[in-house]
Amino acid sequence: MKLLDDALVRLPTVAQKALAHTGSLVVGIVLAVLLHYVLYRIGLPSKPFIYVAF
Amino acid sequence: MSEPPPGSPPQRSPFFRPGTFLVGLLLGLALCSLVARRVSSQSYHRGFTRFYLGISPEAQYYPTLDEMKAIVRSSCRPDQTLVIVGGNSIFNGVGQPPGSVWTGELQNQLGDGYFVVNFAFRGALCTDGGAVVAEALRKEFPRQIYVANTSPFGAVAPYGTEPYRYLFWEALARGELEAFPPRDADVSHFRRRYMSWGERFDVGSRESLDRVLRFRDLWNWVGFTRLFTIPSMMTPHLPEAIWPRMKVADTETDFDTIPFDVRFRPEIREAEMKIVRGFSKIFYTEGPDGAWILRPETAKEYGEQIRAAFPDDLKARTLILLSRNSPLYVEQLTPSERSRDDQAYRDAIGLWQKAGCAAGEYGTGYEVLDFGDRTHLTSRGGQKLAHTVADLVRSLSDKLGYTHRNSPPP
Repeated sequence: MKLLDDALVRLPTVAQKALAHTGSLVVGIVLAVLLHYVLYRIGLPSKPFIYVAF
Repeated sequence: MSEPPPGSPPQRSPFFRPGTFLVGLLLGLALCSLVARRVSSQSYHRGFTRFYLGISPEAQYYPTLDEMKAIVRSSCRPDQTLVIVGGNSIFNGVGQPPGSVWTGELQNQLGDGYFVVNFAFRGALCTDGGAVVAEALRKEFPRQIYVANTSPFGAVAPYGTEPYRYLFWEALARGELEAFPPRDADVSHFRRRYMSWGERFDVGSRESLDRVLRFRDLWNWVGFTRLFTIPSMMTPHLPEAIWPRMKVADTETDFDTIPFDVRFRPEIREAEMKIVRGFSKIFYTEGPDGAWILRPETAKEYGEQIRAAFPDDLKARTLILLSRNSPLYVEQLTPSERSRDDQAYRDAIGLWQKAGCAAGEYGTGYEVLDFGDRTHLTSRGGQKLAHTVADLVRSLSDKLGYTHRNSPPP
């Protein structure tokens, strides 16, 4: 992360801002998709349903 | 950049913008929700016949309400009478391979004026699955008949049973069910009496979140059409484990390929005979003249359960079929036991009819080869069932005025 920060500080200020916002937005979206999936997974029963006719 | 002094809080990257990140998070959730609504509004089950093992809770696949509604919308024309089949494994067509499922024959017998869809599940009650979808579609498809099976005095919980109860909670949370005081009281009692506060919180929060975010709709679509991500006993090994569920075929065993002596092994026969003998025993007392009398508490409890099972205005278009056992077992009953059994069917049908539903039975007069085991039907038995149900559906359809053009909705 520090290496990335050091590389980014060498860019012009406008580019730095644009990259920072874009990066944060993308990370937010990716985490949202992961969260969405996690909500689906934790809603599923942990024990599988086994049908037994009797 | 210098290292921060020891003990100071960790430095945050100047390139991380919390506000923008939050916007991204909300935007991502909104996008997922939008995509979910879009994909679940159209059916992705091409050539749907039933929820077979690979796309049912046994395989960790839980069809959603919107997914099931989309199956109906994609195939049922407005001029057709919608026939939704619910109930348990018998009506699902267990033992009948694809191509010989009884609901296919029912569709053939009813013809183009009707659209038949099989939403029965293994181990489900008559109030599960198809019943929830039927109620949710009551306004969109007013010419509708719901058909399901059950046994005399079997459970009729208005909130269904596990693992299918999620559909009821889903429909309830989305306001898709009618307000119906007897059922509302039953549901309220069930929540208080049988669900811990943790379960109530779990169901309540999950349904509230899903109502907005639609995570089940999106990831079911992904699992069905793209990539399945849930470990399942049905497909334990790679690469089948991650195959989209649309690639997992309906491999229902054909009863007719299993030798009779294997399906009815002696040790099974003994256990099944005990079940058949006990089928009506606990509900009846024998009168002095040898007549069988239904226990008053059973009549009261069952009557109350039936009344709460479906909203009153939907009962008129509900057809309940009581499933008979195989003659292989029934014919071994003593005359007195058979008389009690017959009485149980008559009484249970009477109670359903008294509550406002159409009701009947099937299986009387069927032959041993019509059954694959004690209760499930072979393809041959399925043909007979389709014939019985088609007659009853046509009759109910006439009674409800569905067959007359421009008839008012029920």
